[in-house]
Amino acid sequence: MEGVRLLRSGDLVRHAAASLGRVLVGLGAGSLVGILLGYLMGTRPWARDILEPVVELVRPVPPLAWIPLAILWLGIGLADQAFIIFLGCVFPILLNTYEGVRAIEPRYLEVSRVFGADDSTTWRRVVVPATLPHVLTGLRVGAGVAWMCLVAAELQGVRTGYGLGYMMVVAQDLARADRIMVGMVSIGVLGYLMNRGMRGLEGRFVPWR
Amino acid sequence: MAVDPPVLAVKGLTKSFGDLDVIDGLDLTVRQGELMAIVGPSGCGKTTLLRLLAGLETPTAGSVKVRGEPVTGSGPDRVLIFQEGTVFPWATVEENVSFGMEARGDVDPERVAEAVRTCGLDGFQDNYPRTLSGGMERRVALARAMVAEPDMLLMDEPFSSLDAQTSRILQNTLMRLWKETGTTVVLVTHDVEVALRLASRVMVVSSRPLRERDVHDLTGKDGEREVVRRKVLKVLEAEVGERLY
Repeated sequence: MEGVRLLRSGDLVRHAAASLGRVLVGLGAGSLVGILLGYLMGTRPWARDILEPVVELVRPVPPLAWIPLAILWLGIGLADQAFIIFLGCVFPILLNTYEGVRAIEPRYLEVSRVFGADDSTTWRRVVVPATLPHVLTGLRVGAGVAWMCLVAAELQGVRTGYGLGYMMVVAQDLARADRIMVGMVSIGVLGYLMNRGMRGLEGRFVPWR
Repeated sequence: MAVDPPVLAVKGLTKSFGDLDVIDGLDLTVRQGELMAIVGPSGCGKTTLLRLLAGLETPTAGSVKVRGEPVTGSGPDRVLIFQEGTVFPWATVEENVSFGMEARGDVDPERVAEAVRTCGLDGFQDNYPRTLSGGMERRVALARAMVAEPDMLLMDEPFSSLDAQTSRILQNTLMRLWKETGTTVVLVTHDVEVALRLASRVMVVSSRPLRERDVHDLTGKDGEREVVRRKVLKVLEAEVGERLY
C-alpha cells in the first residue's frame, strides 16, 4: 500500500522521472558514441587497429568501478550518473554494431560495386539496413545495462533528492522494506516497458525478418 | 570502312591466386548483341572469368577491353548476375529492382514497374525475398540488372539449382529480354543443353586452369545443333574423363 501512497502523492512519479531522465541521457550518449565508433571500427581498418585494444582494455573494468573517479572528477550530479550509465551501455552497443558491420555478406557489397553505386548509396541501401538488426540488439542490451548502472550510481547519493535508487537507500536507512520493494518493482516495470518499446522499433525498422 | 571495336575483347587473360592457376591465356571476342555461352566442367574457373570481366578481380596477365577501353574496375555498363543469394533480404522486390537504377542515378518508377512486369514479378512488388521461391529470386536479380540497362549482362550459372520447369520458364524470360533489348549476354554454365538452346555462340573450356577448347557459331544453324551438341559433349567428356550423357 506504500506504492499506492507514493503514487498518489506524486513522489513515485518524480523519482521515476528523475531516474528515467538519467538513463535517457546516459543511454543517448552511449548509443551515439557506440554506434559511431562501431561503424568506424567496422569500416576503417585504421580505426579498428587503434580502438580495438582501447575498447578491450576498458571494457572488462566494471562501470561501477568508475564511480569513485566519476564523483571526484564530475561531482555528484547528472554528469557523474550519466557517465556511469554511459560506460555501462556504450560497449554492448559498440560491439554489436561492429559485429554487424563485420557480418555483412561480402556479396551484397559486391552487388553494390557491380552496379557502380557510390558510397552514399551503398551506405543507405546496403550497410545501414544490413547492420540495423545488430544495432537494435545492441541498443536493447545497452538499455538493460543502463538500468543496472543507474541504481548503483544513485546509491551514492543525488543532489535533487529524487531517483528510484536514491529512494531505496533512504528507505533502507528508515528500515522501510515496503518502500524498497516499490522501488524494485518500479525499475522492473520501467525496464520492461523500455524493452517493449525497443522490440516495437525492431518490428518497425526490421520488417523483413 | 571503320570497324567498331567489339563489345568485349579479351586477350591472353591469365589469373592466378598464389600458386593456383585458374585461367591460362584466354582469348575471347564478343560482338554486340551476341549471346555467348561459355561451357566448362564444374570448378573450372568460369566464375573467376566473369568476376574478371565485371572488374571485381584484376588479371594476373593479359587484358580485358570493353568497346576498346581497358577495364579498370566494375562499372554499370557490365552488370554481373551472381549465381545466387544476392537479392537484398532487407528490401522488397520493388526496392531491390529499383536499386539497379538508383546506383546509376535517378530512379524511374515506370521503368522499374516495367521490369517487374516483364520478369514476371507482378503482384510481388511488396514481398520480402524470404517469402520468394528460388526461381522468383533469380527473377528479381534479373529485373534489377535489366533496369540498369547494361551494355553487357554477365550471368553466372543462371539456371542452376532450379527445377526443370522453373529453369525452362526463366530461360524463356531471358530469351525474350535478350531479343527485345539487344543486350549482349555472356553466360557461363556447366549445362550443355542450356548453352545450346540459348546461345548464338558457344565456347567450350577446359578444366582448371581454364583454357579455350572449342568455339561453335550457332547463328542460323538450327539444323546443326545436334552435330554441335555431339562435338561439345565429346570435348567436355575428354575434359572430365567421364561419359556425361
